[in-house]
Amino acid sequence: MLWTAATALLAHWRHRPLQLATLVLGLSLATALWSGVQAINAEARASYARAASVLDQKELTQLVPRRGDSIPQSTYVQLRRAGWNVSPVIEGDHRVGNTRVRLIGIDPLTMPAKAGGFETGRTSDLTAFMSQPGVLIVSQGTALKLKGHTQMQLRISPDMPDGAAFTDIGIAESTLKRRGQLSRLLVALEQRPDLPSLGTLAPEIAMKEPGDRPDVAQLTDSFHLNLTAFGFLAFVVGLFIVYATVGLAFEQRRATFRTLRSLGLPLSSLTLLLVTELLVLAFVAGVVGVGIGYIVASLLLPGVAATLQGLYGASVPPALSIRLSWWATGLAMAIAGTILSSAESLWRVRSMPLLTAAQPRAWVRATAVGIRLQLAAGLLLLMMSGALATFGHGLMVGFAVLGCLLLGAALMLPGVLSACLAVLQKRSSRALVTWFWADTRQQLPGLSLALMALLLALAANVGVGTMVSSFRLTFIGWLDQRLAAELYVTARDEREASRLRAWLPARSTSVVPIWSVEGEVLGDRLEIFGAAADDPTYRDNWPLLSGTVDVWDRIAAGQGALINEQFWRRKGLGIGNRLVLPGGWEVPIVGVYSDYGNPKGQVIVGIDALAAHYPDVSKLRYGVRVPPADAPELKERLTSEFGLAAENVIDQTSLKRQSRAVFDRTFVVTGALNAFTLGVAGFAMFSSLLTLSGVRLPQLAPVWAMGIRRRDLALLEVLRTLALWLATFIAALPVGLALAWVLLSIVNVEAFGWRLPMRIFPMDWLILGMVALAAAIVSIFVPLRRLATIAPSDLLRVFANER
Amino acid sequence: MLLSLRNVSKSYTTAEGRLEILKGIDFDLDAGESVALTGESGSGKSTLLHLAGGLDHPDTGQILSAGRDIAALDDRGRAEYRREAVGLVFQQFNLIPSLDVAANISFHAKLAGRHDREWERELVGRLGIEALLSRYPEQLSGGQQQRVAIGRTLAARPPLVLADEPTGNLDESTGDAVIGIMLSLTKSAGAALLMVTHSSRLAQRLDRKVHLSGGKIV
Repeated sequence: MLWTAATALLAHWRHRPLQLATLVLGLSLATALWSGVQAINAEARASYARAASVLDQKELTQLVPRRGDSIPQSTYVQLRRAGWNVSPVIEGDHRVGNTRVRLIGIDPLTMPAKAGGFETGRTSDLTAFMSQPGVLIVSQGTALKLKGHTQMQLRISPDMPDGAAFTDIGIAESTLKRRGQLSRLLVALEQRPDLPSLGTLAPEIAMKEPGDRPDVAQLTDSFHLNLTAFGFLAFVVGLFIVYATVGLAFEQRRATFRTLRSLGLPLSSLTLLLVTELLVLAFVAGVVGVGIGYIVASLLLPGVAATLQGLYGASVPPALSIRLSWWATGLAMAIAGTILSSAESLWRVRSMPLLTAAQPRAWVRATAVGIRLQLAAGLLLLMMSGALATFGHGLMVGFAVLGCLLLGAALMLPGVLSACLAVLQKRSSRALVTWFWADTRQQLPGLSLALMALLLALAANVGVGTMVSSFRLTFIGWLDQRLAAELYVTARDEREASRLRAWLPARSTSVVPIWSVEGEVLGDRLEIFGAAADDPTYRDNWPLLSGTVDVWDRIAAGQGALINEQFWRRKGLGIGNRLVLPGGWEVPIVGVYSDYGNPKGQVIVGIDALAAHYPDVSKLRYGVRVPPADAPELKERLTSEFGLAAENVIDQTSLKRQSRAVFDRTFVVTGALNAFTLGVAGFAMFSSLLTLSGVRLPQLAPVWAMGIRRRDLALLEVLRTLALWLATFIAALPVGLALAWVLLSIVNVEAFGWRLPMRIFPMDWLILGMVALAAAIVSIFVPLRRLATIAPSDLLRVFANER
Repeated sequence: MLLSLRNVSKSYTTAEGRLEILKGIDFDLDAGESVALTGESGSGKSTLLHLAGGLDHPDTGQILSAGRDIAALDDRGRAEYRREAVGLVFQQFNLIPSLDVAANISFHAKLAGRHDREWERELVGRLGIEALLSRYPEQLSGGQQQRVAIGRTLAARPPLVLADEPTGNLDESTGDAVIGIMLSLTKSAGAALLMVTHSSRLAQRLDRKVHLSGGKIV
C-alpha cells in the first residue's frame, strides 16, 4: 500500500521537473553558502590551533610572568635547581630585510618532547642549530621571503606557519636583545613528585594551564562571526525558496492527498511518506549543496586568508582540507532547514479535513491578517533594534541589532508594499491600471518571501558596500596623511643604521626615526613607538581623534603618550589617565590617534624618551623627508652611493600602493559573499515567479478574454516585476544605510576598536540597482516567455466546463 | 446579420492523434436574437462559442461579424473584437479576483471605452447586487458571482453576448433566476445572445435552438 501511495505522490515531480529542480537547487544554494562559510571558518580555526600548538606550545602547562613581560634567567636557574623540569623560551618580533617574523628561541636540550612540531635533526644539525650564525626553522613561504636577507641557515619545516621562525635561545637572546630575560617557561609532563611549590620558589610567575584558545583565534572571532552571519543570511534566503516551493507542491497535491485518504491510506502513513520524500530531497540537495559549498569555500579561501593576514596577521593556508564533521554538519543543516521550512505545510496536511476541496491559490499563505501581523512583528523588531542600539553594549548586541533590523525590515516589507499598492489602486481611474495595481497586490503574498529575500540581499549589499567604501575612503585619506615621508628606509644592521643616521641629514629635509619596542601595557602585548615630535611630519600630518592643546610638545618632552583608538576604546581610557609602560615608566595619556587596519593596541612616546628608557631599541627604520621631486634621485643614491639593498628603500607611492592593495584584497571575500547572497535572492525571485506563473492563468485568462493581448499581458508582467523590484530596492536603501551605520558605529567598534565616519555612495547604489534589475529581468524571463507564447487553447482551458 | 460562420472547421492535436471538433459549420445569428446551442459533451459547443468570441481561430472557414472576417484578424484585431463587440459569460464565472464587485462590473465597459454610470447603476439594481459592490469575488456565492459576471458583460453594452453554460454551477432555482435576468437584460440592451446549455428547459426560453452533434449542426 505504502509503495503504491508513494508512486502516486512522486508522480507529481515527474510532471513538474522544473519545480523539483527549483526545490533542490534552492536548498543546495542555501546549504552551499552556509557550509562553504563553515568550511572556511573550520579551516582557519584549525590553522590557528595548529600554529598555536607549534608556536605557543598550547598543549603544555607554561609559566608566565605575573607582571611585565619577562622572567629573569635567575628564576629559571632557581627552578631547575629545585628539580622543576622546565624549558626556557624567548620570543619577539624581528625584522629580516622587509619581513617581520615572530622569532621563537628555544633550548633544544631541555625542550619537552611534546612541545615542538619540528625536528632539530641529527647531532651535527643540533650543533649547527646551537652555534653562530644559527639556524632558522621556518615555513616554505617564510624561507622564500628571508632568502638572501640573513646569514642564518634556513631550514624548512612543513609544520611551521608562515611569519614565524624557531631558533636557538642563545641566538634569539642576542638577536632580540633580551639579555637574561626569558618570555616564558615550558613545563614538561614528566616532573618529580616532591617538587617545592611555585608560590614559594618564584611568586612572581604564574602557571598557565594548557588548552587556552589561541590569541589569534580570539582576535579573529568577530571576523568569523561576520562570515557566519553572511552564511546564515544566505541560508535563510535559500530556505525562503524551499518554503515557497514545498508549499506549492503540497497545495498542488491536495487533491491527491484527499483521494489517497479517501481510498483508505491512514493520515500517519501519508505523513510518513511526505516526511520521507522531504528527507530524501533534503539529503540529495544537501549533498549537492555541500559539494557546491566546497567549491565556494575553495574559491573564497585565498581571499579570506588574505583578509586574515591583512587584518590580524593570522596565517591561514589557502588550500582547503575535507573534514567529515563539516560534511555531516552541512547535511544536517540541509535536513533541518527542509523540515523547518516544510513544517507548516506538513501541519496543514495533518490538520486538513478529509473532504476539504483543493484550492489552487491556497498556498499563498499570507492573508491580509497575516500581513498585518507581520507588519506589527516587524515594527516591534525595529523598535527592539533601536532599543538595543541605544542601551546595549558588546559585539553580540551589535549582531542582535543587525538581526532585529534586517528581520524587522523584511517582515514589514509586504505590509508596506500592500499599503502603497492600495493607494495606487485607489488613485488610478483607468480600468487596466486599476487592475494592474490590484493584481500586483494580490500577487504580493506569493511573492513576499522572494521580495523579503531580495530586500535582505540588497540591504546587505548597500550596508556592507557603504561600510567598505566608507572604510576605504577614510583609510586612504588617513594613509595619505600618515605616510608623509617621501622615502622609508630600513638598515640591515645597527652599524648600517648608524651610517645612515650620519649620511642622510645632509641629503634630506629631515630624518624621522621609526623605532619601536614590544611590551605589555595594561595586560596587553603591544608596540611602543617613538615619535620625533618636534618634526613637522608629526605635527602636520598625524591624525588625532582627541588630545591636549600642547600634545606634541609634551610628547617631545617625554611627558606624555599617545595611544591608538582601539586601545583607548578597549581599555576605556581617557586623556590624563596614566599608563605604566614596561620597566615601570609612568606617563600620562595626552592624545588618541586613529590607527585603521591594526587589531592591536599601540602607544607613541617621544623618540628621545623611548631611546632613554629602552636603550636596546632597534634603530633600523627611518622615514626620510625630501622635496617630492628629489625622492627618486635620493632613492637611487641610497642604493648606488650608500649601498643599501634596493628592497630596503621604499618610496611613499609604492608603500601606499601596497597598503591599498592589502586593503582591497581584504574585502574581496566580502564582495564575493555579497554577490553570492544577491545571486541566491535572484534565484528566490526566479523560483517564486516561476511558481506563480503556474497559477496565474485563471487570473489572466478573463482579462485576455475581454480584449487584452497576450503580449500586453506579458508586458504588464514585466512592469509588475520591475515595479516590485524598484519598490524593494527603494525600501532596501534606508535599511542598508541603517545596516551600514550599525556596522560602522557598533560592530566595527566592538570588533576592531575603531569607529569610522559614514560616507554615502549613490553611484554604488546605482550599480547595485542595475545588477539587481538584471537579476529581476533574468528571473522574469522564463515565466514571461511561457506567458507570451502560451497557446490560446491553454487560456481557453480556464473557461472550459470540463476542467 | 450580426454573426455568420461559413464552413468553419476546427481540430485539436491530442495524445491520441488529431481530433476534429467542428466540421464545416454554417451558422447565422441576427442582432437581438437569442439562440441556445445544445449537444452532447464533446460535441464542440464550447469550441464554437470560443471561435465566435475571437478567443480561438478556426482551421478553415470564415467568421463574419459586422462584415469583417474575424478568423483573418491578427492577435491585435481579435483582442479589439473581444473588447468592442463581444461579452462573455462563463460557467466558472471567471471574475477578476483582485477587484471588488464594483470594479469587476465596470472593468469591461471601461476597457471598451463605453463606461456609463447610469446604465451600470440600473444593471446593478436589476441584478439585485447593490449590497455586494464592495465585496470581493471570493466572498460571494455562485449565484451572486454569476450575476456579477452578467453585470460585467452587459455593462459594456456588447452587441453579442456569448454564454457558456452560465447556470452549470448553480442550482435549478438560482439558475432560472439568473437566466431570466440575463434574457431580460440582453433584450433591454439590444444584444444578441448565443448560449451553450445542456438544459432543454432553458433552451426553450430562447428564440431559437441549434443542436450540435459529431461536429455538425443537425
